[in-house]
Amino acid sequence: MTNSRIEGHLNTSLPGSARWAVVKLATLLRYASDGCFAIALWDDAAMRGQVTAALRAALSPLTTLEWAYSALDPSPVRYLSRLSATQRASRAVVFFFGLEEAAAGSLKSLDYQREALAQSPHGLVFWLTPDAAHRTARSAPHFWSQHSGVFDFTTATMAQCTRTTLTQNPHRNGNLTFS
Amino acid sequence: MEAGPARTLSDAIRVFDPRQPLEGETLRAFYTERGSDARKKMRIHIEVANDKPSSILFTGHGGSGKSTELNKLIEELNQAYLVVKVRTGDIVSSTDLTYVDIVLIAAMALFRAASDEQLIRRAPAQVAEEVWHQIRQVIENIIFGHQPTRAPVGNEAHLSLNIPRAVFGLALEFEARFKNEADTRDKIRERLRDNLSEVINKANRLIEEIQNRHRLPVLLIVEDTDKPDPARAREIFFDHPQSLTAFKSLTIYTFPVALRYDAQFIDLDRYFKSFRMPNLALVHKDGKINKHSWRVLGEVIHRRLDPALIAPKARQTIIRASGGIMRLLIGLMQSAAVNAQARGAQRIEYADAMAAITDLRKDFIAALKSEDYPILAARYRDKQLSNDDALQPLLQTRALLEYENDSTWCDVHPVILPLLEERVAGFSLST
Repeated sequence: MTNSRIEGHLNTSLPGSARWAVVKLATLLRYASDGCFAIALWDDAAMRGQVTAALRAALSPLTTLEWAYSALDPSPVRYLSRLSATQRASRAVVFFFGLEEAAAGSLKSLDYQREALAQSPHGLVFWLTPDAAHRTARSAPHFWSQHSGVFDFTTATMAQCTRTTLTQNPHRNGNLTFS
Repeated sequence: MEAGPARTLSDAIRVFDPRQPLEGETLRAFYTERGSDARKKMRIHIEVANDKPSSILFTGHGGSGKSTELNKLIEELNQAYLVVKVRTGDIVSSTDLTYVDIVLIAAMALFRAASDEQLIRRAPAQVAEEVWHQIRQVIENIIFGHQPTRAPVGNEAHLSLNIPRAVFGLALEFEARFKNEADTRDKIRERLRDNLSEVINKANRLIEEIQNRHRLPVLLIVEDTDKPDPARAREIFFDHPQSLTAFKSLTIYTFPVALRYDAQFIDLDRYFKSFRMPNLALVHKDGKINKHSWRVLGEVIHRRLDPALIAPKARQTIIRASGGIMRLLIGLMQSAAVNAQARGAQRIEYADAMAAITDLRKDFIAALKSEDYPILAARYRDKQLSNDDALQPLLQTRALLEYENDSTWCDVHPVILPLLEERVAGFSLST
């Protein structure tokens, strides 16, 4: 699917910055064909719902699966291991929700589960609030260092993006080139 | 799919995968000789040891390329050594890892590797049956506490194959149960606290047998031992070096980079030889460009990507923003390829690279605390590392990078520098 086809599937009610982030995340999930981890930041359930719906449409016919944290089912890796042989073999995108409710130990455990997660051929999207993302980055640094991108769908960032265009201002990025 | 440089951006998104070290086919296709002495020195140390036992600590920043270098070392030594590689993280969480686990996991990996039928069948002289019997008894009686679930043993005509096969099955059973059954794990640990030497002794008997009969010295490589948090890692390495160095093999453990700056690190000199995997310094301490590192990282990119798919300025920008950390370079390349593909372009342009860098900066923002910024500003100015506890998480998150060209020094990750200007009063990059 080309980029324009991905964009064609997007709900026009999504704010511009969210649309672009959806296009990028869908592009990653579609073409990282050996699998990947991505972090999706959220702070509003309704917006998260819109974004996941847009991603599902953009990624079709790839299957999208969902898992939600609970005390009885606390491990993303165990969820992946419970998938049927068919589900494990054919590429899919898996949304992991609710990890912000997990105890510190569960977030930390992502660090040692990362090898098992990396064996999965699926695109794994971890939905985290900014605070949970901070805790994950600090407590599971090895997992964190292997992700393929943080995609920001927080309403706070979108509001900021509508006020100012925050894109490629070289001054904000410092002197990163040697001429 | 055959490994080779990506010819399209969509392929580049797959090829630049920050999760996986190079191994096997990808190692042969993509490995770039970085000119670092770490692997060469380790190899020389191993060869000069002349089969005598020696324990090595191998350290470096997360993502610096340690696993890939170890895989390269294995490729180089595989014919002359029985190489046994194990990741403790596959079996026990780094948050729960103990020195007992490490010794046990390494010993069981050795038992499994040595009892592999392929090795036994090609061996000119097999390990004495008595040794296998002893190993089997230790696993059944001490590790499993007389309650093993026996692996099925076939009716082989050659008895000598039956016992190793049983050991192989028991080693697999151990791994599965130790990994999945918390209760079993606790009981095994309890039993082993007073009996660890039994396991080590049997492992050493086996090592001697392999060395004498197969003419193969044993090289044990234990990965993920650099992953526990500093407090746990201190307990493992500083409190129990005797146990970790008790194997009569050549043994390599990965070691947390942050603990190198612990005051107790010097005490480990008596037990281990340590090697560092340095980051590739893109500049010298005086700020001048280090052309060698730029060339290496440029080659890393072009072994995986057709040069026509990236603008030279974008490539240079990404190299600079990687800070010389291999995994960050790979991640930035993937991110830039996503940006270019998402906007329907045919190659990665400067704007795609800058957008990837902006995203990486958000990553650091997510990981850093407000009190970290003044510390980073101070290190930017003095380039000095110390054993200050506040520096350890900064090294671990790679906000602070250690280099050892010229001398050992440190610098703030280049992507963070604009944040210091925003968040630290009086800080300016020109000062």
